[in-house]
Amino acid sequence: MIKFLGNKRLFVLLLSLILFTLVMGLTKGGRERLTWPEMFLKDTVSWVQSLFYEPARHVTGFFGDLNRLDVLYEENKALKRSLSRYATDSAKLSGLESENARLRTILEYQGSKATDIDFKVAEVVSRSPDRWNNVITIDLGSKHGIKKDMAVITPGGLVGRVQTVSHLFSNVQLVTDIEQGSRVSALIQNKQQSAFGIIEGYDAKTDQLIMKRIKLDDPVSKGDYVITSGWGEVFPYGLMIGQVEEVMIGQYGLTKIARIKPSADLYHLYEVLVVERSMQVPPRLMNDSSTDGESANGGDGS
Amino acid sequence: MKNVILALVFLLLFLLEGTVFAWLIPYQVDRLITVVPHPVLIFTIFIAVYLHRYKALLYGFSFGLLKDVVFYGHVIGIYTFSTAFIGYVIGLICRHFHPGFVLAISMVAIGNFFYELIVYGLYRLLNLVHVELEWALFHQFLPTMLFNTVLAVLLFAPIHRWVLQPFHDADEKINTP
Repeated sequence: MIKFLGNKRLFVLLLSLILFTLVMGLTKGGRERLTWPEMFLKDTVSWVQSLFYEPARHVTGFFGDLNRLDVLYEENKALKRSLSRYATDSAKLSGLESENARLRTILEYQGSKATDIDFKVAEVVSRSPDRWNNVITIDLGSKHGIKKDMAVITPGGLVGRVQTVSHLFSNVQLVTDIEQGSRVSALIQNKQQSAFGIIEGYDAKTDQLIMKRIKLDDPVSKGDYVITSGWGEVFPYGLMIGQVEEVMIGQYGLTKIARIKPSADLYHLYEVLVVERSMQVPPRLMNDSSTDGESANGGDGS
Repeated sequence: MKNVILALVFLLLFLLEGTVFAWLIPYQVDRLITVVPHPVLIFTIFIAVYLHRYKALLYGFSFGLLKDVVFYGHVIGIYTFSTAFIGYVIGLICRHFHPGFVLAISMVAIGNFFYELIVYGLYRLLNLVHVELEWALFHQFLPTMLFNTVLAVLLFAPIHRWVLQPFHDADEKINTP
């Protein structure tokens, strides 16, 4: 074997193995900043990729749509149904909003639970073809105010979070790649009560997110909606994650585990929203709510 | 000049890999099995078969690194290592054979399988993937291998005619061990 490879080659092979292990170890996990060669390479390549992605989407999208006419018909029906529900919901919401504002003024409640969320629309430039490393590149970077760990959503729900940022582009880690470093704290919303838990993993076999550490006596049932809790550092409150599909008792019988179907379509993405979370309550809102909260909040809502 | 052309073809395939090929896989298939197109790997293997293993090593390294940096999510180095390694080993195996269509395509199939295995193994080693091997084998490795073999058959004719054949003839003297 040694003769087959040669002494020098064996040495080079071993050396490169050590080097690779070193590089992998050093770059594993989230780094705060990229080095400038990485940023430069990323920006240039992503810019060229952006020229390809758009036409590719249109061409394949056209054929895909032809393929999916039957699905579209069903989808259209479902959308119409949900639209009619939306009308009644928004009427109900405005009623609740004014009631909420009234109650807040009565209680003189100052804190706001980060309800003022700003969105930035980003286009997807490319997608990592590999499924162990679910990364999409979007066309917003540090120049546009994107920071690491910002939440990324579609109208359907949570998609992922910003992993690395360069000047003009950034990489988004999809929610299916949840790992030790990037758990999502979430709330299961029930009719009576909400249950707190942490989304810790993803099961590729069944396409479900796994939410653990739910209290045993918290009510959780199939079909409940799951949203971000806003208690973690990463995501703001109230982003839709998915729906509960299955509830089980955890490994040691002390907690419950819920399996969640993600509500966003993670397979074909072309436009996403980056959520900018403002950590402090803006002073404008605080002043308004102390003087006449009802009218100010009504103005904010429109 | 030759190297510039090779690098340009590689770059084109790399750009298509993350954009056009990502949309090629039909919507319905994506939910059942995972099919990952690897045009860059296919071209690396073609070069290993037709040209020289050091060339395959060099280009595999460079474009694996590019993939690692551009799609940086977890870790840098996995694609660099696996693409370069597969290119080199296939070049090593093929140096005594006369290059041809059957050899190139079968090497793509074998190389793809082991590439997937190495990438999966490294991710598993770094505790970033928790799927069992058996499931990954039937839901990703084998479908991906089949898809890329078909892709290689389609890509073979143009690449062979315009890139491999002219360069191979020119390299004939150097290539013989």
